[in-house]
Amino acid sequence: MTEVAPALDAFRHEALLYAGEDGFVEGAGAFIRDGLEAGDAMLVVVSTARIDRLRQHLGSGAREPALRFADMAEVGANPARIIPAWQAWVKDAGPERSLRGIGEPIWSGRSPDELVECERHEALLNLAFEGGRPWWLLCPYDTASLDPAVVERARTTHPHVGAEGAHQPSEGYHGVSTWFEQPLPEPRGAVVATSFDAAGLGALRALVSRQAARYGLSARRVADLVLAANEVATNSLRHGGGGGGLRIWQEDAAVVCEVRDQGVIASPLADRTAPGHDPDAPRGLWTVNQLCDLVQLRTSPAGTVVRLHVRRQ
Amino acid sequence: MILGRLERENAAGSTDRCPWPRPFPADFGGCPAFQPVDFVVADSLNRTLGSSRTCRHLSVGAGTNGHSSRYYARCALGDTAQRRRWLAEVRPERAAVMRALQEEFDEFSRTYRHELFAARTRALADSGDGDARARLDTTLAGFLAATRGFLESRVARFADVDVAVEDLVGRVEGWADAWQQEGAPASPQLQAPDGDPEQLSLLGRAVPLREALHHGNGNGNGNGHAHDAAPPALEPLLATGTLRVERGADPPRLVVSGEIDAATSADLERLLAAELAGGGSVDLDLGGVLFCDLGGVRAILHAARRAGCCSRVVVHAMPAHLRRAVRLAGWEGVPELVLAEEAGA
Repeated sequence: MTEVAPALDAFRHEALLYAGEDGFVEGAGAFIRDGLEAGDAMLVVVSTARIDRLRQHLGSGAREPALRFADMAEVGANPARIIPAWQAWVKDAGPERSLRGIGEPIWSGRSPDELVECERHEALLNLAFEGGRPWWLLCPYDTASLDPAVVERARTTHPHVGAEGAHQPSEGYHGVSTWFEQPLPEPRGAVVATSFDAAGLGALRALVSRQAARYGLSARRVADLVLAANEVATNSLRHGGGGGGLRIWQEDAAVVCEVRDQGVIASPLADRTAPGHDPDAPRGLWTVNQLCDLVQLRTSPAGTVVRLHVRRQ
Repeated sequence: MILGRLERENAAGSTDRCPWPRPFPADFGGCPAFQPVDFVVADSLNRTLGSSRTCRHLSVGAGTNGHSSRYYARCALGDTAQRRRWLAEVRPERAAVMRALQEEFDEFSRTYRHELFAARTRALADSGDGDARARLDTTLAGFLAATRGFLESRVARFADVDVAVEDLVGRVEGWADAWQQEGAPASPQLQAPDGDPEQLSLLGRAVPLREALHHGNGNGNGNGHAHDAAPPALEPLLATGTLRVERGADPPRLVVSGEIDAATSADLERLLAAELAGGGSVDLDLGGVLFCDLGGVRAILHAARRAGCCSRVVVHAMPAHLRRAVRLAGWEGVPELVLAEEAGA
């Protein structure tokens, strides 16, 4: 089933609804084959299992140099790292070819917290590429294994939806969405809490370090969490009213450290904008997303909450 | 002037006195080198009175010449600067994991250690039938088996701080042999072996109460180690609460120790800008840096940029995690920051 590629004059963010692995291979395979025919440059970021199946399906086409594959588990384990990866690829691509991408950030093994952040990522994609170089990004959603509510929400984050060969504008999409207002669930179990001001960063680091080690993090991950918490707390000192509150607790797979303050984060893409070398380019939130396995960021006129997750290995 | 260990012990106002009030509270965080070890407290009749908490580095020092009391609570690491140096070598994050493992072991072994203490007191008092002796043997065997289980379920976490669990199992068994043959009735002391201070002191201690009250926490583990040769005399350029910068002459470089964060990075930037005035480069030794945030790296880069074209900061002994942070922050390859690789540094 081949489709005529719509002429691209803007970033086209499209959800591909498929059922089961065979449906994925058919839908994604058709998209890739069309791209190869058109001479487009392509990057496919999905699980390694899916990559293997696509390679089998495409045969010699999979070896075209214009087509590249990357493992979503590496690129996007932390979903906040996905947009910068696409931005780097689009920026480095030569002007002579059109660009197509496939990215599947949501799979059925994602935790509820990760799922929310994946959905936030999907919404922010529209903002990140709006007005820039036109390209076509296809986001596959497995109707057979995902919660129907997740699939429905995909209609609200994607301006276009494709299913069984038909490409349509999405009726659920209502314009670029910036902030996800999804509140964060309260932790279950024991929580260690403190507050901090400008004189309290040393004590804050000592507390995070002690607790993170007690919860079983390795030395390197203890250092990652201490640095990340310090960066967020330092932001609170500068932009969040001069201080804030910190809580730390453990969950099944990770240690979570939360910092709250009275400030507001103005830019929705603040935590996923690659900074470059300039020392004055903002990079605290960028860095915490490189150090941590998940960062939940919620901001409103009432204040800001940042939750840092570091997994036990 | 840096004194050798023996001279330190004899000096009035010994600089290796532990400055912290004891007993240490449960979440003590005042001293960054603090490594809690549980111990069994006993009265002069060897009856157990509960557990208390000492520090692995705490021992008893002997002061002379004008000291009102002969004995004092001595930090085997030395003075504040030496405590920081130990922590810089071990790395704060590893020290945190070591501390957590020791706390878990103390929690796990507390009941056993009390039972052992009581069983041995009975066995030593017993004269005649081997009943109490046999019960002691059984108690000890149970403790050893449980300890092996504790250690073997934590192989990865011990490996993370470079401790091989098989070595620990061997040491615990060696301790048990020696402990079983201990004959002295009066003040049983469960000495953790001396040696590599980076190994854990896994075992609690029994200390007669009178001594414990008198000297704070009584006998420590004696895990003092002869520190590497004292560093050459340095001229201090900056000494805030948590950050020190000293000028070293040979080789010429600025030696930074302590913590670089929002409280101290502005001072560091000013100092570096002054050093770089007129351009050129400056060598920084960061081996003693316990923590550096992104603002600290920014301060270094700002100073280099202010000094103008081609100014560089050459960093020696950059801690591994800071190197990781610089890379993750997006500063890899920034021209103003050069990492010097030194063999054997």
